[in-house]
Amino acid sequence: MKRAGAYLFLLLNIVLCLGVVGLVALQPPPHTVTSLFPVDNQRIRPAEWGTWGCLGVQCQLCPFRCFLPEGARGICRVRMNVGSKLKTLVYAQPVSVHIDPIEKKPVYHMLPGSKILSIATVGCNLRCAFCQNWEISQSYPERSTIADGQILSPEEVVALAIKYNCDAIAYTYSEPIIFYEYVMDTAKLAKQKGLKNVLVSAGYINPEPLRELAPYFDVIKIDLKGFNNQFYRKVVGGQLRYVLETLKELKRQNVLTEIVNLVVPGLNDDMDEIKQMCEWIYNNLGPDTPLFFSRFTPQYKLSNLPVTPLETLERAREIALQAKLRYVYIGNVAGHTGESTYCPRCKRVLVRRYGYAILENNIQKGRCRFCGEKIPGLWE
Amino acid sequence: MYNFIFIFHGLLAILTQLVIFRELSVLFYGNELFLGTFLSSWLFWVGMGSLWVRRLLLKAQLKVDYFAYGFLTISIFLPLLFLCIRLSKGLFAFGQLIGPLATISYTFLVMSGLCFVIGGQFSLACAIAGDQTKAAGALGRVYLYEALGSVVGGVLFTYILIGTVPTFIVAVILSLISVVVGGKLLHSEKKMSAKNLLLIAVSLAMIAFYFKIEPTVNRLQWRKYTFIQQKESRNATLSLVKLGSIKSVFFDGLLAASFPGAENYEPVAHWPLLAIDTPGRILVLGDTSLGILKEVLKHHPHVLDYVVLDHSFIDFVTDHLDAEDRAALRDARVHIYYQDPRLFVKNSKAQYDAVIMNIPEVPNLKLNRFFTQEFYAQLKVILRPNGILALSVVSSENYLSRQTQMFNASVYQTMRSVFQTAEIIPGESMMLLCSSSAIDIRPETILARFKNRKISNSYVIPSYLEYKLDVHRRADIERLLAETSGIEMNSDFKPTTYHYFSNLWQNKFASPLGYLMGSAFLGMIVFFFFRGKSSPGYFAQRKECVLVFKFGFISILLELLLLFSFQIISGYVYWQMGMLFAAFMLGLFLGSALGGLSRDKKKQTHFLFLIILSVAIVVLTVCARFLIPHLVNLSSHQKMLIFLMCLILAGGLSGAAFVIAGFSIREQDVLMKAGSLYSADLWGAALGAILSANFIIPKFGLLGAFTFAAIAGIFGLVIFLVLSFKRGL
Repeated sequence: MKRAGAYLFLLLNIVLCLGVVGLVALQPPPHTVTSLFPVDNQRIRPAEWGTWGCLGVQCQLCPFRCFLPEGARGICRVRMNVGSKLKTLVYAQPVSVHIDPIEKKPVYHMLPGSKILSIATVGCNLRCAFCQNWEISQSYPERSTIADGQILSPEEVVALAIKYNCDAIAYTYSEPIIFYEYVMDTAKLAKQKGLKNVLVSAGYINPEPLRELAPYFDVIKIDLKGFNNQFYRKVVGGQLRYVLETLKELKRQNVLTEIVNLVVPGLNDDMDEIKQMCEWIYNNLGPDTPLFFSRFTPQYKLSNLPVTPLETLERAREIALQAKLRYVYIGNVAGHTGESTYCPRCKRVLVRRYGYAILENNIQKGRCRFCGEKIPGLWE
Repeated sequence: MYNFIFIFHGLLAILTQLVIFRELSVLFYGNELFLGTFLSSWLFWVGMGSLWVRRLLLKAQLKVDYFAYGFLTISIFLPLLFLCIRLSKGLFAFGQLIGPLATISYTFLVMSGLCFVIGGQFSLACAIAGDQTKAAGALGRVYLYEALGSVVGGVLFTYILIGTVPTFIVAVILSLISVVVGGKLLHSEKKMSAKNLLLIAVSLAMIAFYFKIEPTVNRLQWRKYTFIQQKESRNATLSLVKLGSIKSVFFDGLLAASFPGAENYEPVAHWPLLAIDTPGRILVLGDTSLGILKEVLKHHPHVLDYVVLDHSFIDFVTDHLDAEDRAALRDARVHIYYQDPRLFVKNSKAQYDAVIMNIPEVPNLKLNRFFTQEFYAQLKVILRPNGILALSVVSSENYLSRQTQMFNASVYQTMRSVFQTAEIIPGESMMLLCSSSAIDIRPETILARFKNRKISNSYVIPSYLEYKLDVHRRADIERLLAETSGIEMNSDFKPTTYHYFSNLWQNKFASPLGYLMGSAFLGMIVFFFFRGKSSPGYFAQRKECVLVFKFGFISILLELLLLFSFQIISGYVYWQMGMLFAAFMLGLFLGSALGGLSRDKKKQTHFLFLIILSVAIVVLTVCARFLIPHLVNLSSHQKMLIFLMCLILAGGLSGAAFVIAGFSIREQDVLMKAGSLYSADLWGAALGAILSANFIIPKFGLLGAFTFAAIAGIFGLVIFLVLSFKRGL
């Protein structure tokens, strides 16, 4: 009997091990996670996009559509079923509040050289192995320190932006989709006060919530992390088709969209894929969509990989220009000619950049100073 | 003949351990987590093999045959393991760091087969020796000759093979000798049947096959890169590969330097030099700092001293550098010193305007000594009153997690405890500048110096400088780091920064699934060890095994502590470290030889000896605890002598205890006796290996770890006494 019990214990362990291995091997990862740490009830606020289903709540915010039994959290770690209601754990709790140059986002077709107040809470619905802000995105609310230890209400965020003479507010660093309610309230208020809003996102959101959010944004910057579903599944933890849907929806909503493609050597630097991506952008979003090829630097789990060779970025840019995209940039390479904006008609430099500095701006009233070509963007 | 074979087995075991460690280091970066995992996995499986071989022996009279087959199996497994490790680089995600769970699982899995056979060979050797002489002395005899083989193998590897003969060739040579030894064993017993001849032929054919495909496998392990060259230096395996125009050097599989790499080298060089008025004499520390030299020369210093641990890195990359970097190396102002940087600083009489430390941020205990109060104090002596010390550590631009905050605060507060002023430039890589006097990094001053010196950069440019000097970000992070409470200053004997860095590194891989998996794994081990009387945990019921387990635990802890202490006090000098390693193994040999003299004594005498040895190792540990901090002022020869004596004593006490425990144990079956004791010894050492670097030293500090070892020694002795009085001698 004793022996049988012992073997049962072993069997259970093996099953547990195999189960965990199986879960880890699943792509994308399981739709619900629970934290090992208690949550502060004071900081829980109602969240939108939850639908009641059998024995739990389903979050309809992003394509994961996490089904959450009582007490479970979504893959983003910040949306939770509390008392059969969907709640957010990060409302008004930014962990990072900074003033950045707008070029850092990077957003190139809105007020060059302006300052932008950037905020982020913890959490993300993706798990990019190269995440630059992994300490924010891959953390849990209860394990993070709120900036200045204070709750920062939407009113206070807007007041802060005005105080520091910022022209806009950026919801950035981690994935702003997962603090949707906070973004929405702040963006509405900022609009009322004459500030602009910039969303820096991976675009992993369902069309319905996006349709409600998009009108409040002046520019939405989408990280299109690659054009290969396998790369998305293995390295990013999502699926490409949802991001493409988001981009198409933004086009329908007529929101100025800029796209960043971080070129990771050996992982998403295939030139055929880049060509397909450029053609897709041209066909679905139009030739005026600004596209950045950004240089990868070793980050997070991908720390054992060198930076992207410059010629890879230059080749990608060349392909994009050949695909008739009109505003193609090279990012993260200070001083490269690919940082500047050129007039598609007369080919002269419109905005000459060096890193975050604006050396020259030849756009007047949204048009090229030399030939009068209309340049898409918010310039004044 | 058998004595020579036992010596060879000792030599084979130690060389195999060393070459596999080098090979796996390329996969898992050779840090403390890996070192602990590797040692414990090695010791665990060898112990397992020694214990379980008895069960696998179908016919007891075929011991010699099995012993011979063991050597033939090793001859096939060893090169195969090499190729397997090299090929398995492709199993892990390209460019991604490998986390603790994968490191531990893979290491334990891949080493199981070979180590199991090596462990089994020890017990078989004891059984063969038992047939020839008295059973009581067999264990001691084999242990003695094995220890001798280990001394020879260790010395051979440290002073002759490493850095000169590639590890794969060492493995192939060992395989060939194993075939010869296996053949000789079969031949001497007149068992050279057609089947056995076929076995030998197959072994030789396999070795030849491995040899043939090795170059192809080498290239495969660097898939997606253009492989240029690989070299095994004394300290690490260097690999040079190319991806587009970027050439990268990997140190033990970890990206160490890339060329060109303005974004890496420019900030490191220009921040400290722009912060001083007249950079006259500059010191650069760190093996991979080569790319910094040309940046420093842009500030027109009179002298640039560049200190590297060994010449391997420079030799390795010089031919592949671009013209500017090569010119910087040849510049008359540049003086290169091949020395331990800490030793150089200690002995330097020069006064510097700036010291630039470009040392990887504390991934292991060995490097922690470059971030301690003691080292900063030494640097302060060689800095001019307004000179600047600069170093950069990993950080985060937008938000510091608790782990990053603790790590950064540890470095910052330790620096501030020595220097009056410190300035922080936040970023992914946080730059720390400190000095004994005020540091002027006002944007206007920095930009004026940048302009006046006519510096032409591609990355560190005026707009970058202005952005980085943003008052808000700097003030925020300075306040955060200064106000972080609960930070212990990092010192030589209390390596806290290393501990904080380990937490930060492991945070990248933390997940609830990982915790679950770890718990399940531990559960399986517990079940496996204690599921009944026939389990490996059964040895816990024998008092001698408990004692030997304790000796295994303390001796490895003591060995590691003494080696780390020596590095801190005397600096890292390769041949001295090798000598200390050899001293411990020599101690094992001498101890087991002396222990063997008590073979014919009474049971009570053996019991008394074991108690004396247990007390002696506690006394040695306590003495070392109080002696080591006072060694700093002794001459290098005196220090060396004291460390040698300590290590010989530590090894000697363990060796003697093992042999005497063998006499004392009641078990009549030599295989069972050898298996139980050897596995107890190795499992004790395995536990010591994994706990020392990952828990005991970071938690208690080096001196505290000595105390910990002494308490563990007393605790083990008490259990031994209780068991003895409970069950009789």
